[in-house]
Amino acid sequence: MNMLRFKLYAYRNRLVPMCVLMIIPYLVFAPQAPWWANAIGLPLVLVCGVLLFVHVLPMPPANRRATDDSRLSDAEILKMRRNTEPASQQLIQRWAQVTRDSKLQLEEVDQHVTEVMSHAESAVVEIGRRFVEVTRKTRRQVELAVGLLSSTGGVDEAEKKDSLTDYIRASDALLKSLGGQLAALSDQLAALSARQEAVREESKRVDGALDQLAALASEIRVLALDSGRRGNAADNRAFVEMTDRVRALSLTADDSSRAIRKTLEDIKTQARSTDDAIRAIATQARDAGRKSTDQIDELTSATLQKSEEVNGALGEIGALGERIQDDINKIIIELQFQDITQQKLQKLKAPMLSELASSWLAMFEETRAFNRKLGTGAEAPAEMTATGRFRVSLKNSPETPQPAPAAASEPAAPRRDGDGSAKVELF
Amino acid sequence: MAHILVVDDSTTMRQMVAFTLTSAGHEVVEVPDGNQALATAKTKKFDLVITDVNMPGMNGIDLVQSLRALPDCKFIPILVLTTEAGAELKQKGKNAGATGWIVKPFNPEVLLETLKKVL
Repeated sequence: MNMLRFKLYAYRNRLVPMCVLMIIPYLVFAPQAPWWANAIGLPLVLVCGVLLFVHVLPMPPANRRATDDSRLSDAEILKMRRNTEPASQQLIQRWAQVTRDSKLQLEEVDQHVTEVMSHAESAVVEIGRRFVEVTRKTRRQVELAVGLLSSTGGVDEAEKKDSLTDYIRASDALLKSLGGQLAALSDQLAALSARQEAVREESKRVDGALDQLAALASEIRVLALDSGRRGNAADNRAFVEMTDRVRALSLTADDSSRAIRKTLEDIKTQARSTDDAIRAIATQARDAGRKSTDQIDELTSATLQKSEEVNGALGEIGALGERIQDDINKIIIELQFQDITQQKLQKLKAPMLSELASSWLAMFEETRAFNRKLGTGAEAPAEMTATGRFRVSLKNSPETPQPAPAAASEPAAPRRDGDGSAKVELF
Repeated sequence: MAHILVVDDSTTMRQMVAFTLTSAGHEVVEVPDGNQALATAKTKKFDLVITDVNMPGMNGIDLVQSLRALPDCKFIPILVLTTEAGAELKQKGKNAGATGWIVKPFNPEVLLETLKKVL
């Protein structure tokens, strides 16, 4: 029976032409033959056709193929091809073994993929967190550095804080002002000294006047003495007393003149020493002012130069900060690629790998059940059919593995243009 | 400074968006799905919402539609930030009331420029 089925399958494309060729001669002669000859001839033609098909037509070629089990010899394969049932059983057993192994492997792969995705997600989250912290700190550093030399604060002028350069310039202006004030003080001291000189000159003139007064007093005293002598000679007592008083007054005026002269001398001495002191102070103040102005100029120049250098370095830091920002943007884009890839893997894993595993499981169960039927020789005919050339497959298997359909919500493949500028659309 | 609600089921993506926005001086609230976003939007006012499309629970398009039904969110800009670039889905987003559509991966500078345009 199996041989007949095998031949029927192998020659299925030739059956119709063969029948037509056998029937044509009969159809030619049948209209002319009597009815009883037709009644006998028609069954005989059919019987002859069957006998010819079964016993005369050769078996189809059963050479070894690449898909055959290498452990089997050619003779065993030929034998199995002629008797398809044991071959089918062995194929199904192998299929069952393969599906069992594949199912276990799929479960293992699924577990590994889940673990990898979990690790990748936690790693990306941690990297992202650390990255955010690092960039935040870097940005703060740059802001602080740049803030040293640049105005900060609000937009309003009143709220703005001065930069380091502003402070240096203000300090320079203050020091210069101090130098100027020292110079002014020196000038004032010089003027004071001049006034002291004028006082000394005035003292000299007073001294001259005192000399004249002393000379006058002496002359008055001589005149009073002379008048007293004459009055004494004339015995004019009252006149003599008056001349004595005039002489006494003259002596008193002379003493006063001397006292004034002495006071003037003291004043002149003090004025001279004060003048010397003022001159010395003025000279020192002028020298100090000039020297400090020179030093301030030098210091300010050096400080400003350093400030300019720092400003340049901070400008470079700012430029580096911008480049760091670009790098950060690129890292953000790359992290997004990583995340998108992970999401894609997640969405592909759920429907595809799970469906594949369940399909393999169903196929495994179906194959085992079918194998059991074949092994026990169940009454139901084996639902095995040959498909293609000498292949064995399950007929109408409900769980025939099919490629998993693409998930409806499968994300678009990430495009690595890295730009993103043309991907914004405002409605 | 704007108050921005960021909705995305991916922690990494939320972090990236939040980092970009906070660096620009904005205040960001992050939520992982549409339902939580809707609940948050009912309790707090936002100047802008940025949402993903494919999320568990309520998806981004439904979220946009639900947000537009809220009185406080009727006129605020809502940007969709997603890997999806299909014209049909974009049209759905537009019909739901989205203000703009940005395809991932986004460039932070482009995102900030877009924010300036819509705010």
